[in-house]
Amino acid sequence: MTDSTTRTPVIIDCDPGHDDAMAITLALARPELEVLGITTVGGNATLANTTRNALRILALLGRTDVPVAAGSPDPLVRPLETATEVHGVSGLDGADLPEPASTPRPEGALEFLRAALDASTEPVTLIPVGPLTNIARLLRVYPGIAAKIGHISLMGGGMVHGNWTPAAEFNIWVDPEAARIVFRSGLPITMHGLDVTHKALFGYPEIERLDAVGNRVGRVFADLMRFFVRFHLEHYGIADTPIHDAVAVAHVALPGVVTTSPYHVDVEINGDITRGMTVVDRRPMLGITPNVDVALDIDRATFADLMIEAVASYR
Amino acid sequence: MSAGFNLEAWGPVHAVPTYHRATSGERTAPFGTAEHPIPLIIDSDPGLDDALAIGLAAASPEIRFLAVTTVGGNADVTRCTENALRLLHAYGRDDVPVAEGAAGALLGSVVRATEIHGESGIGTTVLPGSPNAPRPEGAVALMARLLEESPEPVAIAPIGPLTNVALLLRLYPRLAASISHVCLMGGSIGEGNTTASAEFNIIADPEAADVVFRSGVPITMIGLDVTHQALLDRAAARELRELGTAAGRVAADLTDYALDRNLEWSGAATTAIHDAVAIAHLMVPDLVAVARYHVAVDTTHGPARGRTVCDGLPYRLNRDGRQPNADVGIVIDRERFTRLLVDAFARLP
Repeated sequence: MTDSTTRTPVIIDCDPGHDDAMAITLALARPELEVLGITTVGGNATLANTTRNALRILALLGRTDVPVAAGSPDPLVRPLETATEVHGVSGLDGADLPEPASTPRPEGALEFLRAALDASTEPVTLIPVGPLTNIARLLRVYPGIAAKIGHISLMGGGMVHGNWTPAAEFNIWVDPEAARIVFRSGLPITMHGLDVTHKALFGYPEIERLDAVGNRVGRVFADLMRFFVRFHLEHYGIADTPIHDAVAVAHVALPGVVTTSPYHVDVEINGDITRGMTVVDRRPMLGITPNVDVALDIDRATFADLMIEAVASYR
Repeated sequence: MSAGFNLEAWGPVHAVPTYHRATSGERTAPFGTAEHPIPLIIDSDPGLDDALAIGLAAASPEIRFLAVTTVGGNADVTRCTENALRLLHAYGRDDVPVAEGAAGALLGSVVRATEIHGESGIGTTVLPGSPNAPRPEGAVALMARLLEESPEPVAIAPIGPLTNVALLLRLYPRLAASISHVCLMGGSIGEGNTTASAEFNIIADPEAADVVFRSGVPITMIGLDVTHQALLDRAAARELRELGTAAGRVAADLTDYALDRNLEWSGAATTAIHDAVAIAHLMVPDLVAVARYHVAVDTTHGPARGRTVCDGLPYRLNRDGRQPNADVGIVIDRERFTRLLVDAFARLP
């Protein structure tokens, strides 16, 4: 067991979301991490729904002590586009979740992030697994606070391919301008894009394992995953479903579980058919200075074991 | 058709998405046989790999070689035209007419790849002069005349920037029906080469590529995903040289030059003979595995300019109201490709 004094302080910025729920569940189960709070953003669903979902997950996990602060309802520039066809209208369709047992912090995500970073004696790792609106706002409104950010371990993007559009992954697609601000910030960034998250897969065998855990958390996640698998089966013809957001948490909790490589990454914000594309330059001969560690690989079995272990750690 | 192809080789080669990929399917491109050769115009910017592509066409009874039209790209168009004439002369094909086309892109920009192909376009190779001159009417008019005069539809293999083909489609829209297929080298599903997003032939004239991909003409896109599997090495260059012929020496010199440049450029001991894959696909029915995609070109001016955005996911195509518009090359048997090239050059003088 890791001593609490050596825990990495983290803040999860998310838009739950089925895979966001897995990310939160993993983070709160890992002894290596100290979760300072959860901030929410409009993305997979509206901000009202993603905030409510974060509170419901914490109620399920019995962790209503973890502060939640609601952030930006809309992207920096364009109107919000939600992913209700993936996650359902609530953002977390498919399972019987408890009602919220706590309330969001009154100050909102921006002030919560600033205060939490300010109060931390050591650099904080941000784990944004939704659109990057809150993080971009923080960097723009309180530029001085960047010094307290040790690392940004984000889920988003893909090496020249997407999911929401053929060129763009959903989180980046929703707020490309925010993503560009973050990628150009100079902060240490690990990008967990589709290249790696498409290897962190849950299919029917993993769902059986969730059921077999025998606790309520396991049953709820088995139901959530059955809903999530149905979308992927219907739309991709593949039952194996990427648990995108939890990969960004796994990387912080257990360095080495995700393989990364340093590359230069920029975000396309103008292209009519490429808006939201993360342009990852892997060409070795050009001497371009990398700005991002791009995640490339994770072992499916190791990842599944981590998730099942996390789920089993709750009552 | 897909039987025997190592589809696993598709994924890791060039960061082509592996979670979902379009299903490998039947080709839509026609192909020639010795009994019924396919009439073909090559639109080219020779160019090291262009030179091997032209040699492959020149040597192959499966192809009725109607013309080489030139376009500025790898080098200036006047160099490319002279190279085309001299290459055809070296290959014993002075019967194939050459006409010069666009010097720069539709919107006027000029992108060159002389750091790869040399200022001349063909490295340091010096070819004997040709007795022929380029046709006075120019590339687009020659293509139009050949299409009009041909008793059967003609295939076009554009292996440079798509400027001439876009102009042809815009100036002579009714002749689109006389084009059996456009089998082009350019673009990629995965990463680019000139930029992280874009392949050279497309970023040299994205607007022209956009015109071609929107034209409705049947298209096969031979992009980097497949051409980066079509590799020659020193041993292949040696084989070409040991043919002991003038054409074999030319091919060996060009391949060695490309190998030197690529070693400097990327540290690789092989060189991709991109353009010859487009020709090979029109001769050999089962050499290149293809999949159907909707291909669109980014013509905006950000970091993704010139990107060929390939969508093969049925649900997204339905959602966005799009239909596949191209076969896209995904896998090639490298050894068979090498043999095809060496055997072709063995038939040249």
